[in-house]
Amino acid sequence: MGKPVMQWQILSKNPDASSTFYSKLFDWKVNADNPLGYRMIDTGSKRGINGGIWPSPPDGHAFVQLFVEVDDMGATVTKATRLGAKVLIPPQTLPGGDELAILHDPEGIPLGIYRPAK
Amino acid sequence: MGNACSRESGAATISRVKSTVTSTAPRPSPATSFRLLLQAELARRCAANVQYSLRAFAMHLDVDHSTLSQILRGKRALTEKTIESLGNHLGLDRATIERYVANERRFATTPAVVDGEILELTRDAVNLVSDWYHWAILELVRLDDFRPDSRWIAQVLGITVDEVNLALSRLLHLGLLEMVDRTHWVDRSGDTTASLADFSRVAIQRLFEQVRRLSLAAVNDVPTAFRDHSSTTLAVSTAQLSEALERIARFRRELIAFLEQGDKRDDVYQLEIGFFPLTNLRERRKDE
Repeated sequence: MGKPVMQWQILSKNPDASSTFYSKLFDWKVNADNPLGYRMIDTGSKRGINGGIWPSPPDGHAFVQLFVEVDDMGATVTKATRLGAKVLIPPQTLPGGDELAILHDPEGIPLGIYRPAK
Repeated sequence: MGNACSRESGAATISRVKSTVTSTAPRPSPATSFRLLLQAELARRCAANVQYSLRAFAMHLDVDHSTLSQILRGKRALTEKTIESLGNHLGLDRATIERYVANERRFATTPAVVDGEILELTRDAVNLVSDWYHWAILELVRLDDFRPDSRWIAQVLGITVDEVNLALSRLLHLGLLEMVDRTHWVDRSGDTTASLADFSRVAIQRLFEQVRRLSLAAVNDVPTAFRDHSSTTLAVSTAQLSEALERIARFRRELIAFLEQGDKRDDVYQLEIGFFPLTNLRERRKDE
C-alpha cells in the first residue's frame, strides 16, 4: 500500500488567474464541477500526479502543498503530532466523502493528509 | 412623539441570531483579564500566521485544546493554578501573574464575565472573521435544508465560491466549524455575542459597513413582506438614555428568543438596531 503523494495543491491569492495561467501554459484542464467548487487540475498525462487550486488569504502567502493518502487519519494525525507536527485543521469529511486534515510539519511546511471516500 | 421618516414592515423568519454586536456592557481588557489576554495572544498569533490554530496555541501552553477552548469561551473558570501555569508558558513575570490572579477573583463576580455563552472575539481575531459571511455561513449550517456545497452557499449569500472556501478554511482552522460527514456540518461556535469593546474600531466599522450595504440592497431587492426597515427621528431626554438602551437590549433578546422557537429554520436574517445622537450637543455641553 504505502502512503503515496496523491495530489499537489496551489494556494493562490487569485485562483482564477492561476487557473488561467497554468491551463494556458501546460494545457492543463481545470474542472470545478464538485460540491466545493474546487478547481481540480488534470495534467493530461498518466505520469505524475494531478492537483488543484484553492484560495489563499489576501494577506497570506501563495504556496504549494502536497497531499499524502493514508489509511487511518486519526492515527496519522496522532503520530505526526508526536513527531512534532502541528494540526492546523483537524480531520474533516468533505462533501465528496474524502477525509482531509492539514498539518504543519516540524519545519513549518504545510502538509495535507487525506483518505479517499470509501 | 417622534417623526416617523419611513415605515415598512413585514414578516420575517430567522434561524438563529448569535452574532450580535453590542456596545452596552463595559468589559475588562487583555491588560486586566487573563482570559482576554489569552484571546488577544491567540489573535495576535493568528494574525501573524493565518495557519496558526487553537490547537497550536494549546500545545504551546501545554494544555488540552478543548480545555483551552472552554477557557477562551468563558465556559471554564480560571483557577489560580491555571493562570500560573499558562502565565509561565507565556513568559509572564511573577508580579504580572499575581495581578491577573487578583483580577480574576474580582472579575469572577462581574456578570458580564460570568456569562459563559459569550465568545469574546478580540481585535485581531475579528480582523480574520469580521466579514459578515463567516457568521452567515455558520447560520446557514443550522438550516434544515442546508446544503454542504460551496456553490450553493455562494449563490444564497451572493458571494464568490472562493470567498466561501476561504471562509470555510478560516472557520475550520479556528474550530468554529466541523465537517462531521459528507452531508453534515456543525457550527461549533456556540452562541456568540461579540462586544464592541472587544473589537478594533477598524473591524467594527468594516462589519457595520458591510451590514449597511446589505441592508440597502435588501431595501431595493427584497419585497416588504419579507423584511422590515424603519427609521425614526425624535427629540429625547438623555436622562432616559440608560433605560432606553436597556429596553433595546431587552427587545433584541426577546425577539431572538421568539424567532428561535421556529420549528423549521429556512433562512438567515440580519437584525440591526441603531440608536444614536444626530447632533454634537453632548460634546458642546462638555466643552461649556
